[in-house]
Amino acid sequence: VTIQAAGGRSGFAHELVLHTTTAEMLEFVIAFAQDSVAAEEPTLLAVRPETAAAVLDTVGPAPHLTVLPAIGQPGRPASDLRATDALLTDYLAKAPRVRILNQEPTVPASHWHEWRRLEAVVNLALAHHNAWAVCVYDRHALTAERADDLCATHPLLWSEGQHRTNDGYQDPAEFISKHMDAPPDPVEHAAPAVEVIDPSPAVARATITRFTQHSGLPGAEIEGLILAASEAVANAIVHGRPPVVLRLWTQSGQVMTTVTDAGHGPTDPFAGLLPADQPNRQSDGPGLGLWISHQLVDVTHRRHPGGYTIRMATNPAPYKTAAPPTTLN
Amino acid sequence: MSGPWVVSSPIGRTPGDHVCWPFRHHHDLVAVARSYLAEGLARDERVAYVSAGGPGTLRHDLGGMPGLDEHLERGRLQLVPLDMLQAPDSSAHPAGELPLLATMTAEALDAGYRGLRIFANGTTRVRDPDRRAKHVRYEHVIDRLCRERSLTMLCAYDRSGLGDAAVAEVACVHALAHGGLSPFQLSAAELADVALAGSVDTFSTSDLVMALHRIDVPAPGNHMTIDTAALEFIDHRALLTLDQYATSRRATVMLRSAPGVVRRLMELLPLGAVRLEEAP
Repeated sequence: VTIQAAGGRSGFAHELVLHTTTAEMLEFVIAFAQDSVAAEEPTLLAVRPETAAAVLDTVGPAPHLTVLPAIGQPGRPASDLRATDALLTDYLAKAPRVRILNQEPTVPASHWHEWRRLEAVVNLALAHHNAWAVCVYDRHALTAERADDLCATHPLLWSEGQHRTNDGYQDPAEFISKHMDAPPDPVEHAAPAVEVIDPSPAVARATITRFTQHSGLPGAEIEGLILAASEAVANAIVHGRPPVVLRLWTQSGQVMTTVTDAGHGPTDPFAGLLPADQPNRQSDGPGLGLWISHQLVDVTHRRHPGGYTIRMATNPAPYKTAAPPTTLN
Repeated sequence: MSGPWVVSSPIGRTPGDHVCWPFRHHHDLVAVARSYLAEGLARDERVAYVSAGGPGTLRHDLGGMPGLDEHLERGRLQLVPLDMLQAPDSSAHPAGELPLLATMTAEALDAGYRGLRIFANGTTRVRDPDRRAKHVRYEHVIDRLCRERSLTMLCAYDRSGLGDAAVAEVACVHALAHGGLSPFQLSAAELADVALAGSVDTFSTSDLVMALHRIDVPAPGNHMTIDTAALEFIDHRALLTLDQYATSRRATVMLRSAPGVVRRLMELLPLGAVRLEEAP
């Protein structure tokens, strides 16, 4: 396999690698690492231990080459996006171009909706970076629909040993607009522990506080849920249509809450994901508050015949920031 | 609404307390005044009843209080027509701005009382919106005076006549309040310029900035510290608006003892004039 740096592109190159065998994956990753070393471009590989070992054996320690442990499960997309943006900014202060390769995790069904939104919005949110980002997925771990989503969200595709322009790539706004139908979480089919009609943000906060005080959840998760629910209710009152309904479920150490109103929800397909300092983000609009909520809790949006629902959930095992990188040099 | 600033009873007060007490009916006002003043008398404090009207009207309000005539004769209980309390001027120090209250407090202590306890029905002072705006600063200065001297004050306002929103404008600058009309309290603080307690969200952000403007903090061009140890909630809009307000006054605001959620929010927001004080 010969790697040529994504056609020598400048700007942000977002490439998809779908592999069917471990050997195929290793061949790609090692060639990518070797090419990066030869090009003397700072390169981060977020890969699983066996992949890291293979790279170390074959390529060896090298300047510019950094290996991070791959994430084991999806984090919070908006938070990951913010962290990646900061990481790229940091690297690009010292180098003209940077490469990142992610060996992607197996994504639970409940997270796929936000995951594919993230893959789409990455193309805009990181467009200002001169970076080459490669997403490596195991094709056998994906349904056909998921593989289609990935093809629709990566402008570049590794295919038949070459970096190719992906004809299946879709405009991110169009793609996300077609996927505003995230299914309800199975928990939502059960009777909620509490349902409040037309709450004020203060009532929403008091409700969450009451039902989380003995949950055993980390304080930061509870605070995040209180803030997100308060924001969701405020947005529903200001931008949505009554009635506004807050529902809350507690199950298996997790607290989930939804806020439904009869409106259409945010018109911005990137709501919650794009950084707060984008030109179209205003402090008095719903964008910044949603973006903050996405940093603090698991958030999913959906439109449905009755209106719009935002679902917010805590995570019993709070996401950890990435471990300190191991530099192989 | 709950919190250490919320009071449910006019009694149980100690020197330094400054309480806002909204009422609906005159008989409620009188009942509160009597129990509040009786507690002061029992604690060997000098007490004063301040309300609109002449001495006869004021005495009538307290009619039936045990030992009323003797308390009045001995000077333990004073009846003060509201007009005698001076309106605020622009001087900065509470004792300078409120000479009568400061003098009354000093006289009570000199006479051997354990302090001065005042009940004031300020309703007529805040009917006019412009006058109410000025009165908010007056109440804040009283808040500082109570904290600095052995003064206990309960300020009553007629919510049925004024409306809840108008009373909330005044209530929010008392250290303590009955009725929960304001979701936040902006009070004098021992180790900061002011203390902010309670909650500030989308629907109360403008009220917070209006209150800060009325009590004139931060002073233009100055640095100020807000004690936020009892701040239960604040959202990003409130923080951004506070930042814009401070910037417009060329001032900076330091948040002391900020709760975790405020710290997390501030990590995410591009603020210039509002900062977190580092933990010692």
